[in-house]
Amino acid sequence: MTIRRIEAKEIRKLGRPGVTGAEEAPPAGLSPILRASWKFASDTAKRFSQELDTDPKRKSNFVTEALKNLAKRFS
Amino acid sequence: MTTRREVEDRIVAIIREQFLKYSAETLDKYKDQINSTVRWYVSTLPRHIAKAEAGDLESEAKIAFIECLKTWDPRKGDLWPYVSVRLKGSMQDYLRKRGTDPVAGLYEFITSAANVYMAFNRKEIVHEEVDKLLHVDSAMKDFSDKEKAVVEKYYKKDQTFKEIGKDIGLSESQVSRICKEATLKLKKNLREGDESEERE
Repeated sequence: MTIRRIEAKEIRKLGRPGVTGAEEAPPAGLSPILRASWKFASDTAKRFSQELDTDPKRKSNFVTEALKNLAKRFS
Repeated sequence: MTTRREVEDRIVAIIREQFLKYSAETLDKYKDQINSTVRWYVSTLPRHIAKAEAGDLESEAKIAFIECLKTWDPRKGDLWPYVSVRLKGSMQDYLRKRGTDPVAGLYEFITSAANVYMAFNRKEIVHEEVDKLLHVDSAMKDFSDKEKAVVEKYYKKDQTFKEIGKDIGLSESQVSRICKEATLKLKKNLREGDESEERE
């Protein structure tokens, strides 16, 4: 049996074995309510952004803006 | 205590608020689909309604689209299936309201009545336009006696429907109906006369 030391600054990614790509972790400093529903919020923002025009840059900007605004409103 | 559902509703409401700032872009993205829905709906209408209302129906559909953006919930499905049903409904509502709206009907009636009144009174205003008056008389050639009597009494003598009805032995509503029909007929005949003159 070996004991592995965990570094204090180790980056921990959320995810499960067998699932490609880690889930996006919620940013620090979120209210606990929003943190609990972060995946839902992120999916909803993406869903709304799909209905914007076809410019991909505008879509990603919309998601970032919406989530930032959400964090502000829930704080 | 706040439930999960309430939190999610709030999240959707906040993101939707942000989304509505881009409603013009979304409308632009769906422009072709909206237009084809309007064209399809217009093609199912009688020709005279389709011709007169196509423009208004398109505006009505666009307004309905914007309204749908305010209520669409992404948890329940895609935007277009949600919107397309409502677009058709809004156009139907518009036509239904338009058909029973007394003010809209009255406006049309007053406009046509005013046109005929102007045609009759040109004689007093511009003497050179006696031709026009003759034109009105010729346009009334195929009118029945009752129609002629009603039109002349209503427009020339300024009598009310009640007075005309008493004179010719008809009810007020019958006179009103005859007058409306005769006015439209007269207007159509005058328009046709003008068009044939232009061709010549």
